[in-house]
Amino acid sequence: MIPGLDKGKLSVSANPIAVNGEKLTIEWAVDGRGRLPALEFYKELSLKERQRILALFKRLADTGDIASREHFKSLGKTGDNLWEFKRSELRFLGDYRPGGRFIVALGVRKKKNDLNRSDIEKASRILAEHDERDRGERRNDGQGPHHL
Amino acid sequence: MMDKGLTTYEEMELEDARGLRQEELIIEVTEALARALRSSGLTQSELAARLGKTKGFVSQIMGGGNNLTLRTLADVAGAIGCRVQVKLVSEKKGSVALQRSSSVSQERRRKIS
Repeated sequence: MIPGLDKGKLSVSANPIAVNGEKLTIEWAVDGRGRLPALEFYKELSLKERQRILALFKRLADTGDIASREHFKSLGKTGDNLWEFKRSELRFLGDYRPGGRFIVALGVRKKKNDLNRSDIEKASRILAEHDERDRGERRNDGQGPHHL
Repeated sequence: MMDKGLTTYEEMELEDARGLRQEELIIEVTEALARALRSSGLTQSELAARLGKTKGFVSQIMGGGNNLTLRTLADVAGAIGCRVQVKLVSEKKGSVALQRSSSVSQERRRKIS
């Protein structure tokens, strides 16, 4: 068993990299409590569902784009400019960050098409906490901010 | 930096690479269809009409929900004005064909010089 990657509450000791691709790295967001909520959700999915989502992540990581709006789309201003991966009932919300990174903040299961406003707000909050933690770690490492 | 082990993708490759490749192929096909449909300027409704199917049928195909048969794929591609080409590539980086081509090029360069 890989440390931090078993089911249950996953902490920052887990590997936060979902996929390393040729164009992008897809990362799991770490929230203010040091937890990885999207990875926790992912770990609860069936094998087939996990493969479906990873195939989408891999596509974005390798090509830098997903053409199908059925699978990946911007939520626009009303969705806090977040991006949504969608595969059957599964949704994963996240956003791009400098340094060729895409951060996955939240995973949810939705039977209807539209996301709840609360899901969007939760994803935005997790991303903000992730960014804050990221800045703190970089200050401690003596590194400057990421650049595109 | 502390080694945090495998990425989620690498973990899945160990758990079930076969199932992962199947899902990746589904995404590759739906991506090819999405790009072709966009280039054609057709809407999903127009494509459905050309196929004599419902918009829901097209939506399922574009969403990778169905296990698409080769016959259906050929029909959908044809309705967009395309043909399907299949290419199998080596899992190892640099296919045999590419390696041979590279060797031939080196041989040619030697002869020229």
